[in-house]
Amino acid sequence: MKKRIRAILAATLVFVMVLGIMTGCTGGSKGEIVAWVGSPPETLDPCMNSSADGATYLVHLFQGLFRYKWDGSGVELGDAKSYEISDDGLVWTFKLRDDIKWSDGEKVTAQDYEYSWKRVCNPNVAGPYAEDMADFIHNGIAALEGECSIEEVGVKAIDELTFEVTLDGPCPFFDQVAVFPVLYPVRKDIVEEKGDNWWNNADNYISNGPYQMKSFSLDENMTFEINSNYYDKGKIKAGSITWQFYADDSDALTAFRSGELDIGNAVPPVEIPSLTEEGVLDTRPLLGTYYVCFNCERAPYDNPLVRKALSLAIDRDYIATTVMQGTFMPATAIVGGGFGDVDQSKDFRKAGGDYISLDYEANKALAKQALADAGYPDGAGFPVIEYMYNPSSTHQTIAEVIANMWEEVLGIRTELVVQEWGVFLETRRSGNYQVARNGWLSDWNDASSMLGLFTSNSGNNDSQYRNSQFDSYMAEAASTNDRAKRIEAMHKAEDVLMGDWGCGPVMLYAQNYIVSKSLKDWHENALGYTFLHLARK
Amino acid sequence: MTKFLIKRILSALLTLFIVATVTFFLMNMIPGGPFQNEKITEKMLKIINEKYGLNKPLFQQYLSYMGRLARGDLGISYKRQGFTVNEIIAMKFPVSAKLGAVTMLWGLFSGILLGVAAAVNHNKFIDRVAMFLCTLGIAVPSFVVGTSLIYLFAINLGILPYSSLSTPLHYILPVIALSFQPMSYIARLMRSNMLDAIDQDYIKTARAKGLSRFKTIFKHALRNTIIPIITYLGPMTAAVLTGGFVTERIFDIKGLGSYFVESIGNRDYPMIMGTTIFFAALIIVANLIVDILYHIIDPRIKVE
Repeated sequence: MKKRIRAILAATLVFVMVLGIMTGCTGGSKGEIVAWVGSPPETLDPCMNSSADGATYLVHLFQGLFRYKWDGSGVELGDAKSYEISDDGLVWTFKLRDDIKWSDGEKVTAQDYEYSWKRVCNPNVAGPYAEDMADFIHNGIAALEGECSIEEVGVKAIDELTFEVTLDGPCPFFDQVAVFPVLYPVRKDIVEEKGDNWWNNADNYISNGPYQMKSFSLDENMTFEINSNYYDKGKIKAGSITWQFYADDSDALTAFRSGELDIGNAVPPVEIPSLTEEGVLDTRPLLGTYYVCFNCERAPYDNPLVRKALSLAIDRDYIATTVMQGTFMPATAIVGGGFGDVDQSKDFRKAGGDYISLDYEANKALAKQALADAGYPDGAGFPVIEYMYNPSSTHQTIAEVIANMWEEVLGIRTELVVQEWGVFLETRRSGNYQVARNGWLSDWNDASSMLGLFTSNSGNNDSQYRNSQFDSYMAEAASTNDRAKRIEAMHKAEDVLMGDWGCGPVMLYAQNYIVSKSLKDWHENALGYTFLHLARK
Repeated sequence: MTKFLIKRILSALLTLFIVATVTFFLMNMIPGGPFQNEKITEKMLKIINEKYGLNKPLFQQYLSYMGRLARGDLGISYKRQGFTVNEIIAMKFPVSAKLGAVTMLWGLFSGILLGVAAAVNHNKFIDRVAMFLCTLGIAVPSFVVGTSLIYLFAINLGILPYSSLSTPLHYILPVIALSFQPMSYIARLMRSNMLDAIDQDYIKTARAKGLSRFKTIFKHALRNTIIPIITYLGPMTAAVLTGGFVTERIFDIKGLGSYFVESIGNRDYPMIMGTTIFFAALIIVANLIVDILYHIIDPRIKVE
C-alpha cells in the first residue's frame, strides 16, 4: 500500500513538473516577435476595419498604392511606382509596379484595385469608414446611398498596371487617404466565393503585403509569416509575428512580466510609475485630442464667455502631468502637435501658436473675469453643470478633477453623470447634454481631420457648434488644390473656433507601450499603428 | 410517459418562444445600437442599418428573426463579422460546458459528502464547521470567492494558475469558485434529509441487524435522501451557467459566458438573442431530464 502511494505521489510530481515546463515554454523564440495590440479583432477585412489594432494587423498583411513607412515616419509609394495629378487636381493616375504579387503568387493588378475600391462604396458592404473614403471619390457617396450604380464610382483600371481615380474636389493630401487600410486591395475571387466571412480562416486569407497569415484562432492569437511573394521582403527583419488577443492590459502585463510578450500597447494606469522605474515603459504621442465638449446650443453654454471661463479654469498641465502621470500632453488648441503644416515636415501647431497658455494662475484670473463678463460674477446664479461621461476610471478621474477646478476657481458646482457607452454615444450625438467628455483620434495626418468635427454640416459635430465664418474657411480649405492656401484657411478656421471657445481642449492622446529591453527597432506612428516589420531581438 | 413527454416538450417550446420574444423587444428598448461608435455619422449609420435590416419597423424585424430562428439560423455576429452566432456557440460552448460539467460533478460530490459528514456528526465540531462553510457559500457570491481565491492561491502563495483552462491545474480555482454556492446548498439539503433518514425505522432496523454504520448510511439512507438533490439539478444547472458568466470573466476563460456578457454591452443583437435562447434551451432541457430521472429513481412519484 505504502509503495503504491509513493508511486502515485511520484507520478503526480512528474506530471506537475511537466506541466510547469510546458507552460514556461510559450515565450517567443529568437526572430519571432510576440505582440499585443488588442482583444480579438472585430474584422480582418480591410474595408470593414475601423480600429487602430485592426489597422496594425492590416499594415503587416497588406499594402495599398502607398504604404506607411515601416519606421512610422510617414507615407511612401507602395504598390504604385508613380502617379500623376491632373491640373485641376481631380484625376489621380497611378502606375503600378510590375512585380507586386498576392501571397499565393498571383499578380496584383489595377483591376484588383478597381474591384476593392468599388467594394468600399458598395452599400451592401457598408464598412464603418465607407463614408469617409467615398467622400473623396467621385460618385462615392451617391453609390453608397444607392443613388447611382457602383459602376459609376470614379475609379477605373485603364489597363493591368494603370489605375485612375477621379475625385469630387481637389485633395492635395490624397496620398494620406489612399494609404488608409480601408483602401487596401482584396482578392475578388476569394471574397466572392467565401462571402463576408472570407477572412476568418488562415487558409483563405490571401494578402499582398509584407506578411501573410499563418494561423488564426479567435480569442487566442494569430501568427504572421513573411510573404515570400512580396517584392521588398529582403528588408523585413521580423521573421514571424504572433499577435496575442489578451482581453485587457492587466492580462497583457502578466504575460509581459512572465516573459511571454515582447511588446504591448497599453498598460494599467496604476502600474505606470513602477514600469517607468523598470525602464520598460515607452510613451509615444498620438494625433488626437481629449476635450471638454460644450453643448453650444444650450444656455448658458451658448455664450462664448461662459465656455471661455470653463475652459480656462481647467489646469491642463496638472491633469496631463500629475493626474495622468505624464502619459498625456497638455493641449493648447484642438489641433495638437504632429500634424503637418504647409511644409508637411513642419508642425501645424507650432506654426499656428498656442491658443491656451499653460500659465494656470493667469488663466484663472481670465476665467473669473470672463464669467463675470458673462453675468455670473463668482459663479453667482450659474446653474449646476451636468458633466457627462462614459464609465472608465480615466474619464471618471478627469471628470472629478475638472469639477473640482470649476468649483474652486469659478464657484460653480458640477453634477457628474455617467452613461453606459452605447447610451452615452447616442445622447452626445443628439445634443441631449450640457457638457460632456469627448475625444477624437485622427485617421490621417491632416488638420482637417480635427477641425472638420466642428463644421455645421458635420455628422460628428457633437458640440452643435455653428459658425458660418468657420464653415467658409473650412470650405475654402476643401476646395483649393494649393497646399499653402489650404493650410492658411485651416489656421484661420482654427482662429475662429478657438476664438469662440467652441470646445475645451484638455490633453493630447499618447500611447503607452511596454517593451521588453531586448526588442529593438519597433516603430509606431501617430495614428496609433504599431510597426514590427523591422523589429528584432 | 409519452403523453408527459409531449406535454413537456410543447411547454418547453412555448417557454423558448416567450423568452425569445421578450428578449427581442427588451434588447431593442436599450438606447444605442450595434454600429454606433464615436466616429460614425448619421448618414453612414443609416446605410449600415439598412444593410442589416435594422431600419425596418421593429415588428417586421421580429418576424424575420423568428422566421430564421425557426430554421435554426441565429444570424451573423455584428461584432465578430466573420462568424455566425451558430459557429461561435459551437466553438465556445464546449469550453463553458467543460467548466460547467466539472463544476457540477465536484459540487455534487463535495456537497453530498459534506452533508453526510455533517449529519452523521450532528451537532459536533465537523457539523458546525460544515454549516459555517455552507452559510458562507450561500451568502458570498461567486465573484467574491473567485477573486479571493486568486488573491490567496495564485498571487500570494503562487501555487495555482488562474488564467484560462489550459491545463487540469487551471480548473481548480474556477471550479471551486463556481461550485461553492451549489455545493453549500446541496450540503445543507443533504444534511437535513440525512438527519430525517437516520431517524427512520428502516435505518434503525438495518443497524439492529448488525449492518455497519458505513453501509447503512451509504447504501440505505443515501438512496432515499438523494432524491431531493436530483430536483436541485435543474436549478443547479442554471446557477452554474449564470455564475459561469462572471467566473469566466474573472478567470479569463474564453467560453460562451464571456461572449454573452460582452454582447450586451456591444448591442450585438444576434449574439444576445442567440446566447439567451441557447442558455434558456439548455436550462429547459436540464429540467426536463431531471423530471424524467425523478420518475425513474422514485416510481412512487407520478409524472402526471
